[in-house]
Amino acid sequence: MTDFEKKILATITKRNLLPRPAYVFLARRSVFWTLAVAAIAFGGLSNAILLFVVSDYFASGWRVLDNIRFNDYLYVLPLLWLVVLGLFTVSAALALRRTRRGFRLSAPSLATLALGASLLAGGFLHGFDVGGNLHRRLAGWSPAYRAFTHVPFEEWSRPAEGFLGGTVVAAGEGWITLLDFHNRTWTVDVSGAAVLLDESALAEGDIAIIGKQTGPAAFRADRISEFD
Amino acid sequence: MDWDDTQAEDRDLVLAALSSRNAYGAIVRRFEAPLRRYVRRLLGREAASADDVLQNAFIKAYMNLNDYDPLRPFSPWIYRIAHNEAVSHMRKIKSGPQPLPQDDADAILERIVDPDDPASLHGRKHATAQLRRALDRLDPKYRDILTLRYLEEQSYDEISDILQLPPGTVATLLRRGLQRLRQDLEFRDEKP
Repeated sequence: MTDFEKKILATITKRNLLPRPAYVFLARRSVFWTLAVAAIAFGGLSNAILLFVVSDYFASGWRVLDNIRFNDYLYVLPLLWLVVLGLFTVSAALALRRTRRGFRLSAPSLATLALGASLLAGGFLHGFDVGGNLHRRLAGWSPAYRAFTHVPFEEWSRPAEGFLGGTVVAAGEGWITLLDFHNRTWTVDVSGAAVLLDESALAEGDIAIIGKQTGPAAFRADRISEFD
Repeated sequence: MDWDDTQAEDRDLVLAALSSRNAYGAIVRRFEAPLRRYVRRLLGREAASADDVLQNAFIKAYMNLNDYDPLRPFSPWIYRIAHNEAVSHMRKIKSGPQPLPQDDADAILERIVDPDDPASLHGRKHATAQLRRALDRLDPKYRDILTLRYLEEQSYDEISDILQLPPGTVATLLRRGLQRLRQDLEFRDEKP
């Protein structure tokens, strides 16, 4: 036994030191894993909403693609959720970096891994319409959220709840024929409706109607406004 | 009775130390010399504090034995603790980068000169002195890597574990460190 060894053992004995229990380290590591998993889960949620909003925009009718401009693409992208996805990707990468072997991966690899996991989680959640549900709940609950995000076509594809949107394909005295965002045709009674838009929009462009469904393909409008 | 630990694997020593305080002595015995040399290199002029730094490092290692991942080699783990302890000691006494001893500069020179090039070996004594000055001027992040690679003879993987850097970053820092060292030496050579 060397003198130094004796000195170390004597110090350990004198101070009555013991190795810290394994659970202390396990708990510490699990904090970082939990943070990483939570960040990936939140990133997944934001990606699910992104997927919902974008797919909803296009699913509402590929017909709009002919006229779509680059600005429209930018407009439809919910930037709020892109920012959230970015923030959670960075958080997940930082938390993964602090795990036992996370440091062995470079920053770009960690970011790619975190983003990939969020995208996968988002795709999975989108399959169960989790993004759509959350988006509708947030839009219903918070006016600020509505102001920050694009109004999706799906919001105006709920005739049973009194919301109908689409393109006017024919118009007569007190009625219009509407092609909704799922390409179904509706006869809409507009005789008693408050029209909150330029009359010419009735003949061209998308409109949003609040009213009541009166039959399988019939609707009575109470209020008509421009779809935006 | 002393346990014959000379043939035991590091991880077996760790397991033994977790169940018996005295068994930790075998770990101290095995790593005392290499860690003392490493800590002295890091401390430079402050080498007189090496024993204190090393003692703290061994005690911290003991307290944190359960944090060691038995699937990874033990040596980089305990080197990391010693490295952190030395760096925090230097920070505490507010000491800047330390000059490398002459022997260490020689050892690095061995690695960076081309043995087939007689010109590179020409004036070697002069070169060693110059190299020491160039190493002193080198950014500590490169010096740490050069020290671990050429003086402590650690592999890229081990350096990655000690400094907690990705192996790719270790390779890049090593290449850049050598490049800067060569550039510095060439620049000084060209100066009238």
